Amino acid sequence: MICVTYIEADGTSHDVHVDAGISVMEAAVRNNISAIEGECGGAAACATCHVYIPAEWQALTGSASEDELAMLEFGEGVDERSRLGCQITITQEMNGMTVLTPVTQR
Amino acid sequence: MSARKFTQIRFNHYDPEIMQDPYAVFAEVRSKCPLGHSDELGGFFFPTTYEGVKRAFSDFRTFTSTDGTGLPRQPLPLLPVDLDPPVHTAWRRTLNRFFTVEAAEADRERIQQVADTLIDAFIERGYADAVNELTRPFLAMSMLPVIGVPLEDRVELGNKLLWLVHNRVVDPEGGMKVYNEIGVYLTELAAKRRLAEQRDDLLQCLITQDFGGQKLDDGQVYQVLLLTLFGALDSTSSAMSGSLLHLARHPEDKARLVKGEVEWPVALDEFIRFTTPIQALRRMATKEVEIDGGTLYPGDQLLALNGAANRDPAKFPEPEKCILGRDATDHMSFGSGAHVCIGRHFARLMLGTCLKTMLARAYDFTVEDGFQPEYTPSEARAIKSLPIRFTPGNRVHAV
Repeated sequence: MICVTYIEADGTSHDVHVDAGISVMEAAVRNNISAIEGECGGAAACATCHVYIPAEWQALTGSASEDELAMLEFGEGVDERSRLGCQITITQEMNGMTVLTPVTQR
Repeated sequence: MSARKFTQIRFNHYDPEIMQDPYAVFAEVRSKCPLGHSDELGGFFFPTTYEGVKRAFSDFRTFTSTDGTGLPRQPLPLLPVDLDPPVHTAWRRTLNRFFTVEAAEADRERIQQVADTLIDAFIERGYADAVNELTRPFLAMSMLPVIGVPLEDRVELGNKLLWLVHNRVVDPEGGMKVYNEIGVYLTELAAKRRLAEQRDDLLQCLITQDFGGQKLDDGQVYQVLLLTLFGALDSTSSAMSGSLLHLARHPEDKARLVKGEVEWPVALDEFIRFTTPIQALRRMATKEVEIDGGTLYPGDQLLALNGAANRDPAKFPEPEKCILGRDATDHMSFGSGAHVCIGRHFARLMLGTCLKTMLARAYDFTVEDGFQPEYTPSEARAIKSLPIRFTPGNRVHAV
């Protein structure tokens, strides 16, 4: 199992343990982390799974595609760390990764 | 063109006979080449696996909604369902706040009152038509006020909308007439609201807010209202009547729910999967693409069938059985992707309220042995009438 830590804007922290192959959005939704909605089910079509990836993990998560960047324009508080959680597939190497969530997904 | 791979079959979601059991058609197609093709309604393809249907809903770049999502085409585009992201996203994010979990919860008390008022009208009698006395009026009474339809107009408007949903294909001339009447009514409703005092509701939002940087004109407000109403009527009511029929035939499931042996959220997902109220939405292929073992080409019409996904045994073992307690969270009844049902939180709340209230007030409701439900054809598949009997009870509100 891979451990990913989600830290909400108010500091609330959740460790989740998941198998490789699911997305950062799915891992959150399946573990009832309501700061990530994932309304469209992972189609990069709603911008409700906006997350921040700390700089030290970005080499593993890669960067956003053009389509993803277009959708991120609808996110709140978007900055250079912003990604759509549905577009990041969790791998074994991401064990211990921290993901930050924005103040709101709406 | 070389021979294309698909399973040719006669399927038409407006055919009253086929829609008594569309799942038999889907199963036959799925057992051959799972991409089906029908010559009906101008000709269209349809995937029958869960993954195929999910892709059709999710991959908006390959399967566009901008050619329209009704089959056959609606006289006017419905907004925002006939848009693709990112144009759609701007609309959706503006509308979403009226449909959140919190918004539905804030309406719980009012929805409970609707349930109690309707049940009061038949509880002392010991029998009822659960469709025409409970589930259909439940939706009209719950949702028409939300868009600002005055009390005196609700029954007539609700009846016209239901007629249109189910008959627009079999009676195109009558369909256009009713379509126009509803259009005049809703456009006038919007025009009146422009002059009235501001309120914080959906209709006000449609009039006041920017959508993609622009205000909506009366015609666009109407296009959103009509979609909202189509989505709100024989959808959740169908989940209610289908679930009530299951419980009437399976007293053991009533007992499990009342004793808490099955959690309600888990049961609701399975009821919604099993009943699949909305069966079909159209997409058009924008590029050559492989799906369900066949190939589509640009311009091909595709029908995404929620019910085919929900009855794929590779996703839901023994899919023809309503198994309370199974994990059905991934069901396709609300669709998927950008256009996932905006009203889904209200739908769950209304369905849960309806079933819990019936179990609390008329626990022993039954249907006659051998009762055969008749289903409406169209995008919305719903039981037409559900006669139930139960031990008479008391009203909760005085007459």
